[in-house]
Amino acid sequence: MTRQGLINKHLAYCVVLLFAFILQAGGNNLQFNALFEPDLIFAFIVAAAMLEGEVFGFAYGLAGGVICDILGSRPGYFALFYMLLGYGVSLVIRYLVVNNIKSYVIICFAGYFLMSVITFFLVHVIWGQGGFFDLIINVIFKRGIATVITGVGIYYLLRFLGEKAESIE
Amino acid sequence: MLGVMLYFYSGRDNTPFFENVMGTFITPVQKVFSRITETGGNVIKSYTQYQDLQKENEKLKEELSKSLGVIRQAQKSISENQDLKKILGIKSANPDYEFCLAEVISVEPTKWFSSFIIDKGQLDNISKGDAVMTHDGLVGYVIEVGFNYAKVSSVIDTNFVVGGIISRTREVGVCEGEYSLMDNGKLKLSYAGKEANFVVGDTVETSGITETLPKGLAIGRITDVKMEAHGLSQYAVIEPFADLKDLKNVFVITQFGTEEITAE
Repeated sequence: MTRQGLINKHLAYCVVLLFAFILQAGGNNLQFNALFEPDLIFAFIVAAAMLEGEVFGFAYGLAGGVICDILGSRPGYFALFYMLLGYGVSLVIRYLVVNNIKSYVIICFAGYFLMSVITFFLVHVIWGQGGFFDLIINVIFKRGIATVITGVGIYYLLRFLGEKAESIE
Repeated sequence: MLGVMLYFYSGRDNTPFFENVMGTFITPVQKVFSRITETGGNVIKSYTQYQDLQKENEKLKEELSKSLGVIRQAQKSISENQDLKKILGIKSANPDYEFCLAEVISVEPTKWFSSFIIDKGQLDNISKGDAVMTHDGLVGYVIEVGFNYAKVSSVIDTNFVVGGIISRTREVGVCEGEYSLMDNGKLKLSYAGKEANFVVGDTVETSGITETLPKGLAIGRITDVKMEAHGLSQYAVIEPFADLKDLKNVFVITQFGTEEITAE
């Protein structure tokens, strides 16, 4: 791929990330409906890491985490987590599984489940919050499904943008 | 020749034969030419009218767009006016409160926490811990302040902890968010003792124990009473009065209470 094509591709990726962030952070609804509020940034980071390798997986994970933390109430947590997620996913693709949509679905759901459980323990259980099994059924499972479904669209979108950028000189 | 023409066009009652024949053949041709001329004229007229209509259409579109903008502004002003009237009502009841009106500009993107950003900050005298309300009730308190923005932890956030009191019985407890209740838009009132007299429908307000929050701010209504997992005490599930599904405008209590300095 030419240098210009590479720049175009990553600019397009950044636009998609920004759009995902605007959709997630916009609105005035503080009540959370797990089935209808997928984690678009998470889905993006997994897709980008699968398609672009360790360096960009790390970079997009860091970028996504930083913009979540800027508006969030736990600064630094998601920057660190998503950075490791991006890097980890790209390593899994490199050494363990083939890069295709089935792998994406499995990695996305498993990754979201794992992240949710760890977040719940680190942020809530340690401070005495309960309701773990209720959380699994009503939040993690539902939101994981919603994230994977929209993530499939994001994966194909990023693949399309990558191929399109390669064809433009 | 002149004589023939004069004969044909002199005043007489009957049309001469030659003239009649000539007219019969020429008339249809004249009709065709007339139609062509008329059509051409109509086309030109339509084109010029179309140009005029197009200009008028653009002008009307522009005026409509401006009018819609004015209507939107008016609706926003009406909404703000209604909010301000309600704040005035609260201000009348609490003359020592100082308010700052703010708009919600974004919410927590990860949905693990329930916080949001407002468009006012230090420059508007907002400081950490200030209560954030709507005219319905308490929405949260400020956890972080920038120059022109502030982060607010909502009443259903797990970070939210304030002293609460039941209006009817004056029993005190701690209002706090819990993740299992957050997705239902509720919080809990706990640490009120095993014998606490919770009744569904009771109103909960701030107790004033938290220094940065004034006493008597409405938090919500009890919708359920449950036993804690350890079985030693009860907790009440509270539904906030504030509408957390559509939070647009809020106001921040930047100052309350009068400081009395007593000389000894």
